[in-house]
Amino acid sequence: MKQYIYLVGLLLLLHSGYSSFEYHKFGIEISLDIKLESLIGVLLIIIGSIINIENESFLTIDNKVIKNKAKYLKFIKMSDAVQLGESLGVTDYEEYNTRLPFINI
Amino acid sequence: MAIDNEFYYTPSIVANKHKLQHVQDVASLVLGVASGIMSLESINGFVFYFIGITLTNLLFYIICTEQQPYKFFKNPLHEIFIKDLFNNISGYIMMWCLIYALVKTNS
Repeated sequence: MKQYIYLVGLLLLLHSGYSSFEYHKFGIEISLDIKLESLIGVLLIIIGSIINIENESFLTIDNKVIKNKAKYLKFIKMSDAVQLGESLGVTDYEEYNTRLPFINI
Repeated sequence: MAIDNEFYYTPSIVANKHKLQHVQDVASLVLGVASGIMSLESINGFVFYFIGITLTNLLFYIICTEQQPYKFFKNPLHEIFIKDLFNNISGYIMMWCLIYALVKTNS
């Protein structure tokens, strides 16, 4: 779904670009609908890029899907930021902590 | 001013910055394409860039920070609207010139 917004925006831009090219070929001033089409294309791509930065959700070891409380960005305060790791049971540094030489036997 | 004894989580700050950067990169390139298609010239192109990028930042501010910007940025207004205003202008000018030249090749 998210990628289709990009696709529609790109198609609009491509079409308006080609129209503008043809208009210039005959030396006519480009009309309002070409400008509007390109502006709508720009708007769609920008909205698509904003939607695409959404936070991913995580799967715990008990097969539960855990979502970030904020939809797009991450909390910067320590007290808010560590809550996701606590509900998930891992930290951001889990990759390093569970390296073979680091495991406490 | 109150003493700032709040602890911040650096990976989140970096992640938010990267997300804002991504949106601004895409926006500046696409705005360049649009201004090339509309064959804007001289100051009009720069005015178009500043209006476009500010509107993008406004959209980001409204959609992404969910009415609580201080939870995601230390100084949201400065970080979102002012700090990176000139960073992406080179990419914008590149796309502007390229598309302008392509559109005008046969005229």
